[in-house]
Amino acid sequence: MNDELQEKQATQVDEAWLRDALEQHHAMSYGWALSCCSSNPTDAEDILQTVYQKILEGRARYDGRAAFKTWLFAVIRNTAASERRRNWIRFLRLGSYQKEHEKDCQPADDGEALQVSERIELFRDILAKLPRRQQEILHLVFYQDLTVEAAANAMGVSLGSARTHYDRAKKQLGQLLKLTGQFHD
Amino acid sequence: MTDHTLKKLFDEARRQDADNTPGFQRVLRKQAVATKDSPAFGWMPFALAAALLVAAALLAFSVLPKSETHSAAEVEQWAAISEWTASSDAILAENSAVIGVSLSTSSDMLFESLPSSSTTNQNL
Repeated sequence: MNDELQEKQATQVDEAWLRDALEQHHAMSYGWALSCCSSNPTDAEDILQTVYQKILEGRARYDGRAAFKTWLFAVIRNTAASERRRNWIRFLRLGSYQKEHEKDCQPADDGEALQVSERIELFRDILAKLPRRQQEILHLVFYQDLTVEAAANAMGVSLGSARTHYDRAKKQLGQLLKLTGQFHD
Repeated sequence: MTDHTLKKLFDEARRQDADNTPGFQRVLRKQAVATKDSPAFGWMPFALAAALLVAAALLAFSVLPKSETHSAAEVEQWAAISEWTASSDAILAENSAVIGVSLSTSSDMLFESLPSSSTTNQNL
């Protein structure tokens, strides 16, 4: 009887702790989910909701081997990847969304300086042109302030592979940004 | 493009995302969009139905030729049964021949010598 009570209390504590941890990382998780969903806010929200459910229902368990943030990002990435694989209709919808998004974010023809938000939209579009792994490593390192090693854990790749993606991504993104003429050092 | 420039761009993107981030409670309480309920699995009932149909068709094709073979064998068996005779069938045949003819016994003469019952009653 005591064991059952203790177990129940431990579960409640775990759930409360998990809720707090998820809430603390919510904004960053949303940013990462956006990155995993080709910047589609609806999909990012759906993925995040699925991830929170998985974690709170115990279908994804944090074992403490990595930092909570790294583990959470790995769960988000895996959930987004499985959604992408399974839902080809959704995938097509995302494709059309991207195209529309690209049209909307073309730089102004009159050469006027772009507003900050437009600049960032353009930056996102250029970033989206990179291979997925390269986008992920740049996001995790520059946006989420993870080390390359932690990013490798979150992405489920080796450190060497992550470093290669990181170097290539920086080089390629730099070249693409320079081509627009809107981004300078 | 330096790391510093990239960092600044990503920071700006992060600030923009932060303004549009839905609340934690809203995401948590949102109507469940569990993976199993997502439209991604909408094809599963059809796939299951198709698989069942294929399985049924395969079963039917594999069973039908066998049942024809069985029925032919059964017909042969039935024919054999109709021609089957027991060793005692000969006795039955002999008895039927005897029953057709009346057998005479030693007491038959008594019936022949007695007057008819109606005559006896008249005499009384």
